[in-house]
Amino acid sequence: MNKYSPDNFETFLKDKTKQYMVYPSDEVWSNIDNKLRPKRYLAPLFISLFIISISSGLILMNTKEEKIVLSKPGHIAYSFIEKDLIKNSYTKLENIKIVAAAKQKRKATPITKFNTLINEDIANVEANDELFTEILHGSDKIELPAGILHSTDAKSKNLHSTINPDKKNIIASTIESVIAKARIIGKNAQWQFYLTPSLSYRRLEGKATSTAYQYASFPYSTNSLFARDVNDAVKQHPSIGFEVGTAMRYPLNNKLSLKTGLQFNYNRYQIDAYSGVPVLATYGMNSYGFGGRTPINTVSIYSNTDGYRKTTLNNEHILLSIPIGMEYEIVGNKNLNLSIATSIQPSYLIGNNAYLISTNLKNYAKEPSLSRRWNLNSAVEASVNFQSGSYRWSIAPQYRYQLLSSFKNKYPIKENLLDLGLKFGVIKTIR
Amino acid sequence: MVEEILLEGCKKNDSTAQQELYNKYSPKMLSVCYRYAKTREDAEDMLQEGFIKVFTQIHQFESRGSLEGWILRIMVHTCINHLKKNKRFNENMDLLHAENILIKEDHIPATLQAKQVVESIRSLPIGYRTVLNLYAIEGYSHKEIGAMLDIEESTSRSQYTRAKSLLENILLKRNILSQPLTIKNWFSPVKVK
Repeated sequence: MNKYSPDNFETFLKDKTKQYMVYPSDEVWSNIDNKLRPKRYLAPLFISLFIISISSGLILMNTKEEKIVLSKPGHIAYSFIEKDLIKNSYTKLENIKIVAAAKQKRKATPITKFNTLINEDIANVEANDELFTEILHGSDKIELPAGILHSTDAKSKNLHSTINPDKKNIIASTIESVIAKARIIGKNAQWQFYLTPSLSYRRLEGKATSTAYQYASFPYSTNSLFARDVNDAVKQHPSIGFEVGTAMRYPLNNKLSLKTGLQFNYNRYQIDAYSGVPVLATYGMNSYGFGGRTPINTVSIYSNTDGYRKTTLNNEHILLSIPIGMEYEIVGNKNLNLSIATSIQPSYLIGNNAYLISTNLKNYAKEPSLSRRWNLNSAVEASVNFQSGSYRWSIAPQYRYQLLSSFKNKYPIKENLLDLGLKFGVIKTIR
Repeated sequence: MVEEILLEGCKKNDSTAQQELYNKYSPKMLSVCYRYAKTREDAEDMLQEGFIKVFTQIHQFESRGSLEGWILRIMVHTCINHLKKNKRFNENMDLLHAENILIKEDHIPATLQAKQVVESIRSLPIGYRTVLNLYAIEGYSHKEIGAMLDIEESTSRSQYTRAKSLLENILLKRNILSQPLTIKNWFSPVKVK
């Protein structure tokens, strides 16, 4: 019990309040850190996911329209012919009173369904939208109306001769562009969406720099205390990452396809470390040319040898890539087949949360200035594909490897990220 | 040496140094915020706001005083600003009838004496405890308190006198303080309403 005295009341309160500690929740630091360092990678991440979603949505919408066209017996998918182009062309024809000539030629020329429609209803073309729909969806093939452009009838000839050559060219070029377009789209391009849960890890390479290495007199040891090779110093574990993306496949022939798209990767691995008192961690630079480079010093509270308590550091990388690759079907038929694929992936590091080991291999700290932004990845996969309805599904074990180090060349330690994943994909043919 | 390294790191906006500085001072500073705040959540909000100010203004710190003292001043000002935003704070500043204040004893744990004292302070009306915190614990003068809280210096004095009297009674009632053995008290013991 404390003796009450009006004189020591303030002292008493000060002493007691100093003894009382309240510990904040983890959320407070996380909020402070977010306020101080807004996650710069979030904006590009959302933009890329937005692009993937929108492109996927648009492709799905387009393929739905295709389904309606194909569901009508006898119809072919020339829906890409712009209605306005045809409409304008026939409007011009009507303006020069070609209707009569077309009607006269009808008997002499083999009549396609298309020509019949033109000859009989051409006067109503401009006003009748349903007719255009019928032309677009009801014709077996697109033909230049012979009765219009190649009439041998004298009357027709006269009329034909009155057609401005430019106007004839409009029709011809329209048809040509339609055919060219048909050829391109006839390649059966395919759209793919995929998700790949993966086991992420890294390959490390490098030795303690001679200037930083403090134990040169000791022989090589696997003990992290005296490690000279980074692989002896670092204790690390794989962790779970993932990949999500969308791609277009362009069949080059029955077996070979070209692929490209947009892909988002999240790679993560863990490092065992110890929390300790803050020390200066030095990142010695590779010496290029006379004088070398100035080392970078930063504060570290993590050591790989000793400290107050054990801790696990999570190194995370978020990348956006444009994979470009080839796929080859090894065996199988349309319904079930096995294929192999490889791709090269120019990648941009959107953001990372990575602890780098100091060049004496003793401490870990974040040093974003040493991270390489642009990189190159490669991937190989073997996929089993099967058709189910209008969709094709695929399951593919995949190995992805980062070709360039995650760090800039001046940092003597090299890191290559790698992911072993299982890709789940859905493929839709676009006709 | 360690503090110098941390300070340099924080000035370079190094997240590791900032986190270490936060780990070092946040329990102390949260206990300060806690004395001013109505709830623990409010206290954490104050702490968060205060540390953001610390890290964004740390280049203004001159090593003449202690870093802890500088952080403490920022925290106290953050708490006051936070309370000023709360309308109830201004209403309570005019509360001069200490005799009618009800103390909720069931909210006060009786395990640690330090905690009992802090909780007793927190049980005071907001205006009283703010003046008491600033004057008795943080050591500001009544003139400074008047300027900080936008009140007259005399109001600060009277608020403190009433706060002190009320807190003494609470602490006596809870046996945290013992009764002074004066002739006056011998014949007329303190009554707590």
